[in-house]
Amino acid sequence: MIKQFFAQKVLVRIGIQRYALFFRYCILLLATLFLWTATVSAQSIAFFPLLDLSTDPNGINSQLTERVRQELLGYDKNLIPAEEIMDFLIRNRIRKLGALTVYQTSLVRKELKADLILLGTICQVTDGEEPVLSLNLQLSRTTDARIVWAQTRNLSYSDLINLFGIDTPHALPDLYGPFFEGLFASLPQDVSLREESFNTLNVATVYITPTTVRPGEEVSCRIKMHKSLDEKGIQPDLYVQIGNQKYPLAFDAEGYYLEASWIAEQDAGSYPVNLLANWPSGITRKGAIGSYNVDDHASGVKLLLLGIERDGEILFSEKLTIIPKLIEPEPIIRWEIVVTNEDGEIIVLMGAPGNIPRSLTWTGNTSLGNVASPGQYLITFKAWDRAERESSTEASVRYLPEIPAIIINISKQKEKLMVDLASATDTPLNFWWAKFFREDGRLLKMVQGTELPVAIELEVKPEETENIECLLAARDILGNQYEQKILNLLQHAGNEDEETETSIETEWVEEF
Amino acid sequence: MKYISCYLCILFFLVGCGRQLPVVQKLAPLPVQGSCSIAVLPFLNESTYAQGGAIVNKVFLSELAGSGHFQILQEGDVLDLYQQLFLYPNQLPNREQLKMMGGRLNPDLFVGGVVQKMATNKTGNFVDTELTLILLLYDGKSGEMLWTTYHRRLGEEYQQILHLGRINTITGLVRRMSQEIITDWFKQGMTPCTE
Repeated sequence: MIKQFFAQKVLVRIGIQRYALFFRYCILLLATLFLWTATVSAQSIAFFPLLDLSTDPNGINSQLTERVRQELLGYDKNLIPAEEIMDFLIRNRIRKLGALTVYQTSLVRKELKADLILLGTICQVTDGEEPVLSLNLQLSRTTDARIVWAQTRNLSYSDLINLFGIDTPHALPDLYGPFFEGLFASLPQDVSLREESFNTLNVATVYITPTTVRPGEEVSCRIKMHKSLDEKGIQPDLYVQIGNQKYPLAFDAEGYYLEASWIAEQDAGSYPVNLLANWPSGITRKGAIGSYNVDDHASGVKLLLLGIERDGEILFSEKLTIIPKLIEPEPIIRWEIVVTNEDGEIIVLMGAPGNIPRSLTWTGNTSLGNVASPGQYLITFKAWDRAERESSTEASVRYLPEIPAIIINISKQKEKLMVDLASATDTPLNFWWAKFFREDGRLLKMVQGTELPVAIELEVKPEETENIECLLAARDILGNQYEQKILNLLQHAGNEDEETETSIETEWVEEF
Repeated sequence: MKYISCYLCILFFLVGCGRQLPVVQKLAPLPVQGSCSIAVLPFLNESTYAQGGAIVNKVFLSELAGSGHFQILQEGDVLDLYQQLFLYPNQLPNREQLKMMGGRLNPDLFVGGVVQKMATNKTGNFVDTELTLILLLYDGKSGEMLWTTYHRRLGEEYQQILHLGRINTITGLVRRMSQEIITDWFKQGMTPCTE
């Protein structure tokens, strides 16, 4: 009996111990769960001020930023204080809201100890009688700069108009209730913060100079890197790779830029420049960072002059259109045009940086604003390509600004009046015509042609005392025009050597 | 039979007028390795709507990221490279510049585009919204243009009964059209992230 009693007591004790062990496990499990939950809810969010696109491309909206912040706090989120965010923006000179680089994201993690970043943009906001609000939000992990949640919400007063017009919003705050309701309901409670090694090249700026070189010239590359995102500070070995050739990058004297230089290839063409990074772990990354061109010859240039061509010579009077053309088109860094006279003096000098102009017009003026004298001129056009190779061409023109003049000789015979017309200039004529009228307005004779001199015979009776009026016109091949009106041809003939009252008009009196 | 053919003609006419699907033109196949990582380039704004390109950029990027099928590269990195390449946000990079950006960002695809028309017009209690988009997909390594997508919608086209379903904000229309484009891309054979 006693043995049985003690045996039962031992069994009960063993049972109690088992239960106690079970409870201990339960408590331990609950504690672990509690701690896990606490860790999850402790994920901190850095909420940056909202970019307001309704004001300008980099606008800020403090009022709505604060409203969204309050909403986030309502969801029991661990927010980084707004003052710390503002200090961070100022300290790191971040001037653009609504977007961050991978490097800036790593800085948020390092300096603000934030696990997540919430960036927002107000796409539309209208206050007043017809309010509208549109908001875009993006949540990114600071561990790998990946967007893990994004939301765009928009609400207009039109969306809230009901059948009887009750509770129609009339101001922006009237939209806040339905707009912010459940805005963050889909926000992930537990974002897995994957610790990823930042094996990125992390390049801040790249300068490749010059971008176009002659064969055998030196090319240099300067790269500024951000600080390593790898918290252990492991830096990769960096090289510039062109084709199969690798050139190691080394810090300059100031320790600011990584530099490498090499000799350009002999063959013309475009050469991509790659950055090669070898991490000690064996990881290799290669990416294009730029390119440069090897230029082994000048492009060549030719001139097209839009003037009147005669006997292989270009003539112009009012303006000359000059069209420069590249024989092998390529970007040009600067050009120059020079006009020299027969004595070799430069009368026009003009140039500009950039590509060659589509066309140029020379009106016969010098660079000092004077009118050039008639004669032969040499036009020289020069262009320099990106490798500073010069292309040049020349063309000769003749400037003839003179108005054609007609010499009139009149001789009176018995019953005839002989009118001899001759050109006073060498420029060939396009046409000429002469009309002779009696005093009563009747046409006596009309003569026309393309060449001078010419002799015109007018039949005039001796008893005729009436005035004979003459209209004379001519145009040369350059477009220069000549017009003359002689009111009394007989008087003009009689007093040829004297100063007469013959009126010579230079205006048109007849439509034709 | 006569009535049936008349009815079919009217039906085809109505369907033809109201084409609501994006038009995708494939110039070259998408990358073999899939289109997991995407860099969204700033959109050109050819409309008169202020900041139209920036709105489409933000919303389209969010919809791509929100679909859960892509890794979207940080917008800040893209803008940083634009600055280094002396490109204005209202400018599309050329192939050489895209190749350079690809080397730095290492995306599978670049997505850029043009906002051809973005307009709102108030009619009574509602707002008529209109958007015409052209999206351009470039290879992330070579900068070669692969696909183009044209999409045009009006906010009133989504109206069902009474005023329900009607889209009264331009952001709402951008969002809806972005979803339609992304869904269509999947149908056309775009391979998302496998992880």
